[in-house]
Amino acid sequence: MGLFDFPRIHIVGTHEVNPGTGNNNSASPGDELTVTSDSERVQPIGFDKSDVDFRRWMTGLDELGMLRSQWNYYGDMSFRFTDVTVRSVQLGPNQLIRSHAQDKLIGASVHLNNAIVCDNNPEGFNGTQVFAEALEIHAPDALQGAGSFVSRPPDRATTRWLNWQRNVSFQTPFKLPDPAKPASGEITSGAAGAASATFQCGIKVNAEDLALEPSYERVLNRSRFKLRPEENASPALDALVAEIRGGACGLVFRYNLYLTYPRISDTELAKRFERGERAANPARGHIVGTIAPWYEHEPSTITMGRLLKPAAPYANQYRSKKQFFLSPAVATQNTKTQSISIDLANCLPEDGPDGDKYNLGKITLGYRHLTDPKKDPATNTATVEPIGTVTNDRETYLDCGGIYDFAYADRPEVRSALDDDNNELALESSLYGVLLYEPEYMLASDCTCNYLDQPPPGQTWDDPPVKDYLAQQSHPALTGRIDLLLLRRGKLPAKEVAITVEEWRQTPTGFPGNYGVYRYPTLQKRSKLKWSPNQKFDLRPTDGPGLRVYRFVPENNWPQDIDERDIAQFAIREAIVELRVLPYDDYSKVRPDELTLDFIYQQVFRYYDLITPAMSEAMDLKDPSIWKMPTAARYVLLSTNTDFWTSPQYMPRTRDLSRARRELLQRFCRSLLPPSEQA
Amino acid sequence: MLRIKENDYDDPYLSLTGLLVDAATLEHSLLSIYLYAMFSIREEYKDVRGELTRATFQPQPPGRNAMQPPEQHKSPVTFLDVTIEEMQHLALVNQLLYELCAAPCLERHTFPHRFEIYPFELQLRPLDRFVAATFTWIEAPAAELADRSSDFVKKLENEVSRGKPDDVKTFRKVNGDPLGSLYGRILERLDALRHDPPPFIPKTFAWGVWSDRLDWIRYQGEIDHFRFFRSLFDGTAFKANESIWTAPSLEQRPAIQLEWKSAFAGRHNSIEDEPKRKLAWLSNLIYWTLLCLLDLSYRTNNRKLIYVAIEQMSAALWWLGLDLAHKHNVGIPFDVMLVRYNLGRDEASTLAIIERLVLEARKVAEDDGVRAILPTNLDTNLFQRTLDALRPRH
Repeated sequence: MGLFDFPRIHIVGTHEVNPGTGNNNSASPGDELTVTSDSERVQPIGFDKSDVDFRRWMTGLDELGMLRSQWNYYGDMSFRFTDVTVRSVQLGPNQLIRSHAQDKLIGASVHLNNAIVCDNNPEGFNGTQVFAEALEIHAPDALQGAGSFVSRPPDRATTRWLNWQRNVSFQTPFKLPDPAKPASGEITSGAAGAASATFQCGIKVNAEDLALEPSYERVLNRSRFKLRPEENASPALDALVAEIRGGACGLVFRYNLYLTYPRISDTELAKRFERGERAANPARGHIVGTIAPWYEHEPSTITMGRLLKPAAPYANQYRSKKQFFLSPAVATQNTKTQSISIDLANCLPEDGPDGDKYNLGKITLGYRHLTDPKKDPATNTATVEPIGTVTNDRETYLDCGGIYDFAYADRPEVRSALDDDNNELALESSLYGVLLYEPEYMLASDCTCNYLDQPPPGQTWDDPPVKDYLAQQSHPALTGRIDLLLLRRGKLPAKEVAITVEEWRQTPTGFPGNYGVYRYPTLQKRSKLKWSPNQKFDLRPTDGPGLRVYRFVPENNWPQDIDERDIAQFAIREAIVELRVLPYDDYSKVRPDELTLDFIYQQVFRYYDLITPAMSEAMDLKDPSIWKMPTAARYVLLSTNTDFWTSPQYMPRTRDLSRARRELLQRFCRSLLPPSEQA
Repeated sequence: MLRIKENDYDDPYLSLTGLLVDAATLEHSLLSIYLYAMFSIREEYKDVRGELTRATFQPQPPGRNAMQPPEQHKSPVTFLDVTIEEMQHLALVNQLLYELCAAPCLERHTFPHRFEIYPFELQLRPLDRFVAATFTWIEAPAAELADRSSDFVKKLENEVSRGKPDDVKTFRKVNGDPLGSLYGRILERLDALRHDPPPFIPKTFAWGVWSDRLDWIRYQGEIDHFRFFRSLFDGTAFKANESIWTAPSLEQRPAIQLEWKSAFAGRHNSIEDEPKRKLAWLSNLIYWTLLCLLDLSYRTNNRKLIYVAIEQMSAALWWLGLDLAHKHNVGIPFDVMLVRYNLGRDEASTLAIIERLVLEARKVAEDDGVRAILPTNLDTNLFQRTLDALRPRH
């Protein structure tokens, strides 16, 4: 059950995220801005421009008053917890502790050390990845030694459950561009304050991490990876250690980012750029999260259970013309504690910049007779039988990390209803009716963001050299093979399940010469598979580089088909997997004498220099003097080695350097080494 | 004289940065004596000494999560590995000073120097059993030295005191192991500062990351370096035992004998032979260039200058160190520059002054007498490459 297990350690606070936005192109699904970059070829648009002119163009304002590079041209991809602390801990469904006197872990500071963010699809919205060196909990009163637990590297976290409509009334303190009116006042392209997203990762804690080895013990009292609670200081940590000793393989860390938006307007940034400043404009926002035990064979980046999907919209008093939906949620039954828990961390909307919960009336988790799979769940008028009521206020939300538990030990009718296949879960608002319903299946992959290299002409994905190469890759995200996890109302299905797989082409989203026109995804291919336990799926995209979205549709899913507008807008509700196919370039005929810095700059560095200039801040890669030194070449050779793909130090941080270009760059680097090192 | 401060300052920031300066000075001093000794190891023991490979000189944050070239995973630790790790420690301490908004520190002591924390003087000396014993002592965790009845500690005390182990008692009063203690205190100060940081430290300062890195330095010293030096001391590194240090013939011992001399001209302890002195002077100029580059790189967060500094080491200083020792029987002098390593009043003037230092080095290298004895592997293009790289950024 992972996240839903106990103990749970709930954290709250603020964060700062500093993505480079030079290649974003679009602002949200259906909302295209200036096309600056060709994500398929991984090149800047407008090769006829000189570099100086391109940068000037990027740092200038478009016809609506937004920066062409969008709100953070000089973002360096860093991601920091700025003020995150443990707010509460939970030892059981109704055992919430808020007091430091009762658990000295409360008040501890929490950090994600050396973290970076990286979009799988720079033009998309779902596939943000977080790579980090360690999770750190600094609790001098609760942990031995120096009072810190510095974890092993967390797995790559990926976006789950993006919610565009988390805040009903607040997007940004600045103005939004309006095509109907000329630009005036301070305008931003980063009106993301209304959105939120959940990330999740697993973190290994090995048995030896719970004690000091004798050889260390003599000399070191604060060794890394060590999770050693002070005696009788923290019931939550004690319980966590007991779970690990009992077989848990580590921690699962699920966190939700919300009310996150940049603090400098595009209008102001343009003025600073004009003055020659290379100003970064990180977004700052809130975080709520939960740390819980993680068990062997559980996915790392998602918690599986009983999925609840949007059934119907609710009314937003601030924007009456637009439909507002909740985002999906996951619930799970705990037979041990006789309770059902639902993760609403990303789900229930807020109203205003202080994060107060929006009034949806009384929110009830219940069950009802299941929806006919051929019908819109909004048409299901079956009565919802309540299981429990969600206390929908900010303080409760923060206290429980957005996870609400409902015990049913003394309600046998609930227990049997939950086991009855003729029932589905529902989340009902007293004002707006059933907002979330439970489809028959929850399907997901633990590897939602993937990369492949377009094979050379004449080769297919299944040719032995390509297959061998994929099999050798250091991370599942690079192998072209994903797992498919499936549960039927929280349990493994008893029989094979028919799945339809759709492949959508998602890039490009715009037209370089046609400002504001959004290109919706196109359906490339549809195929079928029969799901069985340990199901794998080989990503074999149809022609060309670019972004693909795979939509997995189990039998009885509603709707079976969606159109291009819905896949763009509502992919966040679907079981999707993203794949970025990086372009093939034929450099096989490049002679050694052609392997010059100028050539490498044009083929490799120019894109980063113009689109993500923060990468040139610490070291300007187009500086010829750097490349006269083997040291830089050695470093680039090491940093571009895909063995280190999950390291925050991997180059490029954007992880969009194709195999062909990487090998070209590595060839160039090797040519700079002394002969003895070139082999 | 370095001593581990109890609480010289009430202010935790001043206390922390003071200790970091101590650590930088000590790391630099140790680095110099380690390199000097390493260069004295005979060619037949180059597996112990280490050799320059592609994996060498990787400028990156060390630690358990650091990217390590695959070829480095399996190979045994060499003396060169240890010195590179010392360089990384020095780099990390300076990077931390930078991130704490303090000035870097590339200074070190002149030798011989008596540190209060060691029962012996530090001196630039070729490797022998005494030197191996002092290095082992320097890196030893307190617990390893605590058991005075153990054969190992008895032998170590006997060696570092040159046969007067009772003299060592005076120094055992220091609570904890010396170098590790220093980092232990730095970690304590960092923890203290974390609770009430000065407003000029950025809110995004990565307290945990730095705590972890400092812990890693301590670990590396007390575990990896200690084990390596102990293997030198007991001779096992050379696939022998301690008797290798007392082999009847000097040629049978692992390292050659060198007497430290200065490359400054006209001093009582100057290297007498002029071409050799000039070659050693060239090594000084390159060593100082390296330090000046590092100083500026930390002040300006310019990674390129770190690469240029590493180039001074890999393209020139390494070969000079080996040739000076083995062809000319002169240890690399590592003289202390007579000014601070922050040469100019701002970035532009510092770069301009470093340029003059490089030109001076090139001139020495082109001297007829020196050119005739330059190491064949020394890359004379280094000077021009360095000059090219000194152009200001942006």
